[in-house]
Amino acid sequence: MIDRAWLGLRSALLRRRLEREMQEEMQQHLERSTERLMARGLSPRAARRAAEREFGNVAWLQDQARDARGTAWLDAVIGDVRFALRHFRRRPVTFALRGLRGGVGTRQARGGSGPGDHAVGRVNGVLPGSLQSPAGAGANPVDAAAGVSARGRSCAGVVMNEKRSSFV
Amino acid sequence: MNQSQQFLAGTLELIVLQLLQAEPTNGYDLTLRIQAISNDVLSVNAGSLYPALYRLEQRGLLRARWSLSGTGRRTKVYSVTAAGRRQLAEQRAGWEQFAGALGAILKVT
Repeated sequence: MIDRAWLGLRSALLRRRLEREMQEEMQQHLERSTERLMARGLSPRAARRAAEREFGNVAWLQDQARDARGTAWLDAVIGDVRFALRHFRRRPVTFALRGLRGGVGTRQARGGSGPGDHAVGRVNGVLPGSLQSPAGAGANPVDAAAGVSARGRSCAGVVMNEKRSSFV
Repeated sequence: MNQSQQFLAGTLELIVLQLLQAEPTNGYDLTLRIQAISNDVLSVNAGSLYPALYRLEQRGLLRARWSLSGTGRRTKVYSVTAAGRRQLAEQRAGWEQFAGALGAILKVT
C-alpha cells in the first residue's frame, strides 16, 4: 500500500521527466521498427511510414500511457488551471462573474465539452466507482472506442494470428 | 485482411511478466520476442504494450532503468520485481488451472 502510494507520488513529482522518457522510448521503438523494415528492402521513407502505421496513433498511445501511469488527471488539472488563468488575464471581470455563477458546472450540465469535462473524465478514471461523477462517465470517447475500460485495467491487446504475417 | 484477430483478454500481463522474468529487456525487443517465441501466432502492438508496461511499473510489479544497448543507444530496460514474481506465480497457477479445466471439457465426446 505504502509502495503504491510512493509510486503514485513519484509519478506526480517526476511527471515531466517521465513524459520525456516516454517520448524517447516510443521514438526509439519507431526508429528500430524503421530500421528493421529498411533491412527488408523498403526505402527509408516507406519504412518510416510502415513503422508509423504499425505503431499506431502516437498521441492516443501517449494518452493511454499517461492514464496507465496515473498522471493523466494531473495533466488535465494543470491544463484547466492554465486555461482558467489565460481567460482571467484576458477578461478578469467576465471570468469572475462566470466563476460566481458556477460557469464550468453549468456548461457540463448542458452537455457541452471543455477542459473541465476532460478533467472530470480523467479523475473518474482513477477514483473508485462510488466516488465517480456521472458527468464524467464516458467522457473520453477514445477510450470507449478502443475497448479500454475506464480504469484502464483491460489487458486486451494480444492478437492471435490465424495465418503468419509476412510483413509484421 | 489476411489475419483474423482475436483479442485474448487478460493474457498480456501474464505474457509480459513471464518473459521479463526470464530476461529483462526493452519494449521493442519484447514485442519481437513475443512473436518469435509464439512462432508468429501471437503479436502485441505498441498501443497495448506500453500502457501495460507503465501500468505494471506503476503497480510496483516491474522496475525500469535506462542503460546503453550494444549499439550505444540509451534504452529503457524492464525487469520483474519481487512483487511481480509473486503476481506472476498467482496468475500462472490460475491460468494453468483454467487451461486444464478447459482441456478436460474439450475432450468430452
